[in-house]
Amino acid sequence: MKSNKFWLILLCSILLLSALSALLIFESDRSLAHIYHDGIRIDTLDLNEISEMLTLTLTFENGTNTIEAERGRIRMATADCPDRTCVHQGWISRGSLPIVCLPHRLVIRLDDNHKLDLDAVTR
Amino acid sequence: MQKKQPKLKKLTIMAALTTAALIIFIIEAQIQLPIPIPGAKLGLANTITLFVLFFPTNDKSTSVNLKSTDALMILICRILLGAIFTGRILALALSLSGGLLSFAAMIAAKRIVTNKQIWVCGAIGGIFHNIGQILAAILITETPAMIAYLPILIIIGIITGTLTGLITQTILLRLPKGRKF
Repeated sequence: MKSNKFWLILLCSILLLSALSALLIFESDRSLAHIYHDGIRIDTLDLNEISEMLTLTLTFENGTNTIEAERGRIRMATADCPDRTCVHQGWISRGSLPIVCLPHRLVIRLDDNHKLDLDAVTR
Repeated sequence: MQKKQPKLKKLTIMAALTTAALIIFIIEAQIQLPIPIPGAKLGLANTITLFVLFFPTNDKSTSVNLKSTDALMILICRILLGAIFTGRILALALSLSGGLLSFAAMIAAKRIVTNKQIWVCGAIGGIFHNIGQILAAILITETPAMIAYLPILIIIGIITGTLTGLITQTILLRLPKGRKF
């Protein structure tokens, strides 16, 4: 018969270990940056694979956007639209809201590496 | 006739316990936890399993003592009937593998905890329930990537398991001394 303290420490350490690995797993999972124009995916970057600053210049019929990506994060660096909301949003990383440049109909969205499609089974 | 009475009594008690577990299970199935994790639930029906496992045995010849195998019977009946009543037949394999693995773990844990550490047994049961569930889900959907959910499910299992264990412990400790079925 072990004391309450023993069990508390054991369970808490399992809790901590799980929390740590959960953080690590979901950190590395949300690393795909999908770039959409007009609802069509035009490019996908794996933010974990990037070692140095990557600059992407996209020119559309109604304007130009520059996207910058680093390891783990991505941002809209410049845009020649009037409001530049997308630029002001700054860097986004795991768990952030997608960047949307409405005038140019450009969206950058972070997604899981592997979409887990299990709702149909467990719900 | 006198001798047969405990047997009948036992059947009735087990039926009543199964019913109680089933009702808890069905009500719980309607509650959606406010977390975006598939398969996460409170596991309150496990209080009945723990209750049977930790119910003090009584020496009187007329009283009914429920053994671990009886607890297992109640558990399996509850899972089968629960899948039928909630209409989630597809989730049956998940419930069954989670339930059985958790039961095995709780039987093992029962040997090393005291009557005031039922919450530990609940937590261990919670962990193994979710391990069993995710293993079954991986086998069914053939998606090994689902193992990514394991750490978060272990955390949920510890929290909900401790909770159900504490509920059972509180109930059992408040029973009058020498209480029997």
